Amino acid sequence: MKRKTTPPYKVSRVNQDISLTADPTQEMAALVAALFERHHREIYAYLVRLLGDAEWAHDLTQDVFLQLFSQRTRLTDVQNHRAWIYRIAGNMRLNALNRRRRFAWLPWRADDGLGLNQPGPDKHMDMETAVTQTLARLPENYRIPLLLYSHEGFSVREIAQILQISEGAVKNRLYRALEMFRRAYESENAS
Amino acid sequence: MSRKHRQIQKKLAVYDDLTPAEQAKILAHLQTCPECATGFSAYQQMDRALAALTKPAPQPGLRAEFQAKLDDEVRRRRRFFRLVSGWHYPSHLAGQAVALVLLVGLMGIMWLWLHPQQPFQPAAPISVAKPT
Repeated sequence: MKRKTTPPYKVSRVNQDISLTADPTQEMAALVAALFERHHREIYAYLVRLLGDAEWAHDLTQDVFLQLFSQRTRLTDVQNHRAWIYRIAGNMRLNALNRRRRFAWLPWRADDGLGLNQPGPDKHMDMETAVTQTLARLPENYRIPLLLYSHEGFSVREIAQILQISEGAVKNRLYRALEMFRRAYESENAS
Repeated sequence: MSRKHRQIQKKLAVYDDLTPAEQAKILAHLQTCPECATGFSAYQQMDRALAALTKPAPQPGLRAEFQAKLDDEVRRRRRFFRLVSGWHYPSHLAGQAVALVLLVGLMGIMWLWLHPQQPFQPAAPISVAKPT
């Protein structure tokens, strides 16, 4: 069965519930508000999972959609808004991490401050926590594609657009990520 | 693991993304290869576990906070465009501004006409007498 991909939709489809006005700024704000309404929950959850900080994800989610408003000329050309928003979220997360490293005098840690150095899954902890912790142990290059594919439901092509890499690279990373995930999960459960 | 198995396992990792024809080929291989069948089962299990992770819900104030910021942004943008385009200024002010610019330009041209610049002339070489 073919993986369910996000159907491409145009601005006109998002605009269905928006009463068009003569003011283009207001019109674009309404479009961004509609996109926010549609996607903010999943973007917030994605950022929480990547950053491991709910407060930070709260602020960054707003910044992502405000960024959409400031990029309004390109927004109308975008076919797949969902993938586009995830791409912006990923880029803004990287910028935010860089800013925090630069200005907050945080030490450069191998775990990116995302909780990768947490203790391994406990035998008695529930499945969700075990999966989350195993996922957090994967290197970022593998964790993000895996999250986008298995958790967010994106296709390989969409992930390639989001991460701005080739489809072949996405497939390789997904294969390696699953292998790493399997090994990490099995070793934690065995110990 | 042989190269063929590795190729198959790479495809197993993105099984849901394959075309029906590719999926049929993979399934046919799985019938004859217990190693790949075990790997496939593990991948499917991990995929389900990752898909089932709960998504943290945003704080209730997020929507209102964002809407306030968006409204601010809209106001700021409107102010900027009004300032730049000037469409809300009275027309007589715009006319006066154009007349002023023309007048300054005309004065500049007249000044250049009355004070023509001397063409550039290279300085005469300086001869330095040798001390005797």
